[in-house]
Amino acid sequence: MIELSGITKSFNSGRSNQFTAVDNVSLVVKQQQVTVFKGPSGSGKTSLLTMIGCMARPTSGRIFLRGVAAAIPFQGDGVEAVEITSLPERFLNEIRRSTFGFIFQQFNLVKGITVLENVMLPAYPTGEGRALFRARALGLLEQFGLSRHAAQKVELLSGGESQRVAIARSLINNPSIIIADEPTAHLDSKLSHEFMAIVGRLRGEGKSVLIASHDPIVFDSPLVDALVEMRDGAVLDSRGER
Amino acid sequence: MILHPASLALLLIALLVSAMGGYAGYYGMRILSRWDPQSGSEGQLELERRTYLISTIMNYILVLELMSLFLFVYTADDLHTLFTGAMCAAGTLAVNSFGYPALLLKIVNFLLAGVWLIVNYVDNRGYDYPLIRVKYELLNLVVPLLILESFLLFAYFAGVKPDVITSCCGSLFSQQSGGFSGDLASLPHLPMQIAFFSGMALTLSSGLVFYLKGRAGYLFSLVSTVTFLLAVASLVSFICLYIYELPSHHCPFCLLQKEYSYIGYFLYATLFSGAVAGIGTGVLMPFRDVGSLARIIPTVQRHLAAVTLLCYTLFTLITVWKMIFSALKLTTAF
Repeated sequence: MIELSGITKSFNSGRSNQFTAVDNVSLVVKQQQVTVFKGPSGSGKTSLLTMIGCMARPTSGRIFLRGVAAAIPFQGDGVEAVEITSLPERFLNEIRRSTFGFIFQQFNLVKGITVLENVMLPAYPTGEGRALFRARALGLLEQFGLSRHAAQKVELLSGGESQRVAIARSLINNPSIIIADEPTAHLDSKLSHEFMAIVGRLRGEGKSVLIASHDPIVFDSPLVDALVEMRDGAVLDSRGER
Repeated sequence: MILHPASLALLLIALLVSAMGGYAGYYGMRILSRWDPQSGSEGQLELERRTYLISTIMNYILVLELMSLFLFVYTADDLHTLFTGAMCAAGTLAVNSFGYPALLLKIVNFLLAGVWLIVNYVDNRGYDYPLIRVKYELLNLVVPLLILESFLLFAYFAGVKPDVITSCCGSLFSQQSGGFSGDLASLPHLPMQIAFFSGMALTLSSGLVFYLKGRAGYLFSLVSTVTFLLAVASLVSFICLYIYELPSHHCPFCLLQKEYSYIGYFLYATLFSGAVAGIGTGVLMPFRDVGSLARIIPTVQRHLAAVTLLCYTLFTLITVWKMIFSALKLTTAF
């Protein structure tokens, strides 16, 4: 599980324009569940997810990964919980690569290269053999019905296809936690429902899925196990095991 | 004051090292007094980020410090033509009373900076800042010495006057000169040879045992440190005689000159590198069982032991080569 203890994230600390995006959030996110962070724009959902995903550090507070199945370099030492906010950047890189898969609101696909290369990109720094992760990438493209687009440049894809490529890319290193930030913001209802079906499949495969969204198709979905409501950087309500 | 490019570079390095050392020392004291890994407070998280920045900066700064030792002796050697009586760095350093203290302190700081870099390297490989207190306590020991070294360097270069008549190395390192340099030159050859080769043999054998079996780490570190001191004394006592092929020239600086193929740089580099790695092995011994370092330290120590073995072996081989093929044969041992 992911345990957040007193997490605060302030920008421009100590200055007149200080802004607190996340304010003293304590929370437990269970494994192998779909957890949705619901709230209006500016409520701190994205900031919170970027800190959980080791892409930003909190101003104060601690985040523990307890019993998370991932290729963390020192997990073999019998370390049960990893506190990620104090880790030097070198370790965060490894955790980011191995433990988390990210699906961004704008998808952030790299233009000018093919769909297959986009999916393979996060695997290059791991040192794994290219043939191995290329085969895995092709398998993911097949799984998401994108095989025929493998050699195509990403700028020629539709919105729904782009998102499925982004999902495939997030899974290339076989992470145990998927973080999706407003994944349906640019999709119509049909594609949003398709996205939630994929989320259901991922949960069925034992992955934890954390989604920031203010789309009712997402937070009202029966697939959601826990709902965290946020406003002004604070957690208003947290409901689990729905 | 001599406005020589190398002396200006040395002063600039000293200024940089002192300023950064002072900054790091200040935060070192804050870290030592406020460090609390259990806390998730803003202050603690700020210190965690700050320590990573400081250790990265100090890493580069102390590498500069290591290199500046060789630049200092090179500069001293290069400047000897300016002083009446000076034949090499020995005379240049004797032009005022700050030269030799500055050199000695640079050597001490070289060893301490090397050990700090080893501790820092290991600490950065642990995920939970396992040696942070040791690292900053050591840094707080090193920083005043770095600042003192800067002061001595400034005092030395500021006090260098080209019209000074100085002593040549022949008189400074002669058996009749008295003082510490004279005492080193007076050390009897045969006992020094026995002590030197015994020290090297002990270091290499204990180092091999440590490298292969991971045992006797403290012994290896102690022996390598003592052997370092013995080797420095041996250089003055008998090794340089074989290199110069003169029975009474004990200068440890002429070795750095072109006439002797700059062999001194190689000898000193191997000796000092081996000593730093040997001392570093011992410094890491108490932390071998620290949780996050339990796998890291033994591997690092094996690499350090290998460095010492390689460096000391090279030093010994050069010495033996010079002793065998030198035109000088020391028949009167005592």
